Amino acid sequence: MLFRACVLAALPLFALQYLTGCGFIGGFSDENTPEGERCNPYTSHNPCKQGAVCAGYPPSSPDQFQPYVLIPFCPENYCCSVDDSLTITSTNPNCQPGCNGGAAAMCAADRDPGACCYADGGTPATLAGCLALDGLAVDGGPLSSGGSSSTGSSNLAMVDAGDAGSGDVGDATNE
Amino acid sequence: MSCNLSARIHLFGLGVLTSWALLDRATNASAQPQPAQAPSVSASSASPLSQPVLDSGAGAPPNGSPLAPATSPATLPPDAGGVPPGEGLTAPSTSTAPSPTPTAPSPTPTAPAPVSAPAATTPAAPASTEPEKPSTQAPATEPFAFGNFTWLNGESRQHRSLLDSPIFTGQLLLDLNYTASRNMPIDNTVVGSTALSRNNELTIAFVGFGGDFHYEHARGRLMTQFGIRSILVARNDFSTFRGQFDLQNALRYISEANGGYHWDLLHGINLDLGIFMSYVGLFSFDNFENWMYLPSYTSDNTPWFFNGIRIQIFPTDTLKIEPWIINGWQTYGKFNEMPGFGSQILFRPVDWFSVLSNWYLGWDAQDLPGLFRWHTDTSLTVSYYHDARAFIKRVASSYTFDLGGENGDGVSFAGNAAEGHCTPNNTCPARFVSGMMYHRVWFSDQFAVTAGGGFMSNPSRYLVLSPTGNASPIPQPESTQGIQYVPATQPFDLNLGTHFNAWDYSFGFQYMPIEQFTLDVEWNHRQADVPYFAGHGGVTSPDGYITTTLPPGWRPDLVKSDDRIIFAWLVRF
Repeated sequence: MLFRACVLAALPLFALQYLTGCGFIGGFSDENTPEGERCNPYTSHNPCKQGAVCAGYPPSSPDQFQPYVLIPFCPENYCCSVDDSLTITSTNPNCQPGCNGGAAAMCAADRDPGACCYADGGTPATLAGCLALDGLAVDGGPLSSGGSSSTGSSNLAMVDAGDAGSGDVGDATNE
Repeated sequence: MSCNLSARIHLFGLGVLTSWALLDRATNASAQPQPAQAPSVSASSASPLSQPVLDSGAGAPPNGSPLAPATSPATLPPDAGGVPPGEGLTAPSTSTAPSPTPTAPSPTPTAPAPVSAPAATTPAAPASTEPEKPSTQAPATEPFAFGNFTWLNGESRQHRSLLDSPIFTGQLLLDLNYTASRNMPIDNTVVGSTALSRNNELTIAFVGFGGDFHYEHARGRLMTQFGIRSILVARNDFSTFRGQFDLQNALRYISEANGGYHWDLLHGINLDLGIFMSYVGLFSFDNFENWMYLPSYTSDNTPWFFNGIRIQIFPTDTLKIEPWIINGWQTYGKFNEMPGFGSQILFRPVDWFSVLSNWYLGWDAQDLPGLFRWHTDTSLTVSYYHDARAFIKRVASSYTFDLGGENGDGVSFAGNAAEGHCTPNNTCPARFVSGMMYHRVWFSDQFAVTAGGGFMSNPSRYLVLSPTGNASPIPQPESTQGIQYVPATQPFDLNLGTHFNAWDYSFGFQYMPIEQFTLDVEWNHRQADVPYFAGHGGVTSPDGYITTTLPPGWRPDLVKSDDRIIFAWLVRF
């Protein structure tokens, strides 16, 4: 009887373990989030899969644990693949400037001039101009003025590694 | 047009099934063992579905039988007894005094009306100064007491109430769950359900205590409601934003509060006022009574309660007719000047078949007094197979189909205008078409597996459960825990003319070692044609906390699918 009860109790646990190990995002620890998925920029570890970082809107907290990469005119944060210099290489629409409708959302929220500029037919070529409307410039390298976002080399990274350093991106998922 | 078609389909289907069931009942009745006989395992070989034997609980009262309270052993069948149907239930009373009226200890749709009780169950009968006279007329039988309906979806499987007394039948329900979505939203928030609320956490969904008060012909029922469903369900009621006095807070901790009077007419008539349960969509608000924990949209998106007046009329012991006059469609208050009207018809001609049909007509839209909502809901539940001694004890299915719409003030059932262009002459579509079916197999009394699913189509989204957090189109200050409420900047669109189509399926395993406990494990998949369910980013803020500043324009993460496991831990006395 006790054996049967133990088996009964164990079955759901095995099922849970199986299911969480086969596709539940991050399992119980919010890790290995795929590219293009939302991520938490405030958490103390890199929640993204290896080779990706949580890019997007800079966290407001001064206690910044993760190196962050800015996605211009993007109000959210997404896991995006980066190269060694933390430049976004992802071709996922959520990892591009304006993050798939984000510029329009920012424009609608507070009529931000730069966001409205980019939301209205923004292209990589117009990005610098739109950023300039907000008094901003792209850090981390020159704009690839003729590049297409589909090339995955938008060079839009704004790196502020802070205390976390910038060389541990690839290892972050192994914490 | 569509109303007529729906009504004809209902009538036709009802007629066919009724004829079949009545024929079966008549055949069974002729072979029915007499109460005085030894327990029988005879069966109704005459049944068209060949139910060979009665189960261990056959003949036990349906939950809440007023004639067989738990304190009366004489009326209870032995656990493995195979007591003939009706034994101990419809025994004529020699007492002329009105019987106590213990009503349903659970919010079952049968809420039987007491008619006459055995002497053993009438401890509260007032003393009579006249000697009792033998009754010369057989009393009317108690509704739905002729069979065992504890297998039904949305019906308690308990055969007796442990917390019983002559004037009060108590009830306690603990409903806890743990669910994990493949999306793993970082704010631990579930979107689109009235059963689930928090992800990856042990959640106290419902804690309720209360019961039925019954004395002579007076009756009352109170069931409290603590736990997250006190927020989860009340938040969908927009009528409370009309006027003052915060109806949501005033009433959120009460799931049922009604009382009234019983008359010994026909097979019983009850008149009750207050908040009472709705069975539109078949499933019970009390998850202990359901085959699955997370129901399909047909149940999840239709009302759990009504606030108003209901009359329960039992013309026969197989039929209940229950008209309502209510404030609105699962509302505490009223949107417009007109009340809502509806009714339930419950027909159980035999103990292997049940028909539950509801309809509703009301005016449930803010500032649109010319827009009325109509809704029909029909459920058939059939036990195909039953053998108390076999490994597979019972096989049953439930089928539910809903059809409804809204007409007037720019919308109609068959409108085709696009969102933002709804006019009286060019209406937008506003309809609700949904269905669901579930199949369950019982292995002994302790185990069951259930599979099912359903779909819904709801242009204008008037029955779509609005997402919460920054996706909420309705104010929800209760979700902010004292943090200043800020209206959502990116609300889910519930405007007229929008579209919404969704479907789901689920599998479940239920362990029920005793009648007072259920462990349920489920897998559920839901899919919609628009982003609706909580994605990994959640619907609250960048890190999931309501205290974190939202970047301007931050969008909730809504996705089109949701896969989840559910563990439910249910205890009821």
